[in-house]
Amino acid sequence: MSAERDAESRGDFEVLAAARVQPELLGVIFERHAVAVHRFVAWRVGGEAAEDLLGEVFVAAVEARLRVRPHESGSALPWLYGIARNVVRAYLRRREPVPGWPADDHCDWAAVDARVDAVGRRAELRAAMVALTDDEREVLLLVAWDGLSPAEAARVLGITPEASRARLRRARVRAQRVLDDEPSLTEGEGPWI
Amino acid sequence: MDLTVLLAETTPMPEPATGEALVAARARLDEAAVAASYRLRAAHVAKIRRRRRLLVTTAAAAVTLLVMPVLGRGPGAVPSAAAAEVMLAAAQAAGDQGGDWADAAYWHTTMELDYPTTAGMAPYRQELWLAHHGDGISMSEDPESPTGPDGEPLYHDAGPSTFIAGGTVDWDGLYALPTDPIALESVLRTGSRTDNHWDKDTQLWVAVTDLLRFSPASSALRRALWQIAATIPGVDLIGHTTDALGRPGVAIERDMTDEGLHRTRLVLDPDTGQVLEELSYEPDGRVGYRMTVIDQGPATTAPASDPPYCGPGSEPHRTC
Repeated sequence: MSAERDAESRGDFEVLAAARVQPELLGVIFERHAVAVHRFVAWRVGGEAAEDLLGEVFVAAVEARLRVRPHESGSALPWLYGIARNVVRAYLRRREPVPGWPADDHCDWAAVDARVDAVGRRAELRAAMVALTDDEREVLLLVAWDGLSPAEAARVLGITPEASRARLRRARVRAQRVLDDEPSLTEGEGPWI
Repeated sequence: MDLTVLLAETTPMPEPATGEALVAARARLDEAAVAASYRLRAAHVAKIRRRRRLLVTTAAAAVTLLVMPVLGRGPGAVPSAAAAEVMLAAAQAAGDQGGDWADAAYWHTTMELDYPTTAGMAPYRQELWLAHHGDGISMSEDPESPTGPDGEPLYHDAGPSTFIAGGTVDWDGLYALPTDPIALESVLRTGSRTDNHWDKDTQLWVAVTDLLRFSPASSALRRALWQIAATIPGVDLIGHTTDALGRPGVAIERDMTDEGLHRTRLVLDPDTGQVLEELSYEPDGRVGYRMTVIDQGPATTAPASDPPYCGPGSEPHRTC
């Protein structure tokens, strides 16, 4: 454990570089970022599934450590989120689409549905999400709900920061246009009927 | 409705991970990390058949087993465990590259050389085409090298390709070397010289690293060379670094100043087992020599050699 203790004072990518030949040093990355990774996974698949998938993300990180390249932020979190995204999508791939919500595998839309219904925003959010492409929706939610910068979202998605910003701009314009066009969205109305 | 407000009002607030969930996930990570550590070492262990010494260390979360082959050395002589681990990983990576250039026409290396402690000398580029048959070609942008009429670097005949591997071998002889590390070490030590004051491990280190740096060795031979290197004492792990081109690598070092050589550092790419850079240090600690491999690989052709040029108005082969 002394190697891990020595690594605790180093930045994420210095630790990851050392972890190539000392994979046990990924424990340092776990202690720093596991809570954030769990949150990333949990809102997408629910708390119970997230507790199982958290381990899968870090097991996948053991193999992925050999290919990681530093991110300008110095944080390994965008890299971990990228791995978590793939784990979530593999988990959700066999799910049936939820009526009225996008038919993608980015998150469990049934769980989102129940949550936003509780705050009386189901109609608006559903309209905004359905108006977007999968790519636009994903980058919008990485920024809005996961709190990432467009550059960090780019790293998660494996695209350039410029492409990330372009998708985000389009997503905001299109989603806002839908909300503006339907100012009195209520249950039973909306572009999906 | 404003989109920003909508997204803020609907931001998910999942329950944080329980302590039990974090402990369980950490346990899975630790198990996978131990397995990865074993894989770094397992590929070569099965091939080592000679007498071994086992070193067992324990950490709070995992037990690591390190098998160090001891091949005819005196008691107490064991390479640095961390450096050996890096070289064994390089062996596996080199073997995984799957390259075999037995039939290539040339082995082309582009490198940058630098002598930082030599006054007035800037880094310069050098290229070498080792020939499978016939003479190779070399080109150097060294300011001391003759240039053509327009100051362009000249291409020179570099003679037939030879490699030191238990004596002098050519390209086909290189490919006839055994790729089992025990047998290969036996061959490399056969050519040990008795007329210099280098000890046998230093001679072996020089032979191994020369072949790793500049020869068209196959991936199987490179794997065996790194496996042998991992058994040579006196190699220290310096750690992660970047070479002069900014490429990430791992640095290992062997201090041979007691034998009239230098403290020499190799920067290797752990993903491929390739040597990226070699540095030699002066006694005062400054870098006295740097060789950075820019590119290396097989080639089907090489430039023709230029006739000698001896200054304005000279006639090749007549005036010089």
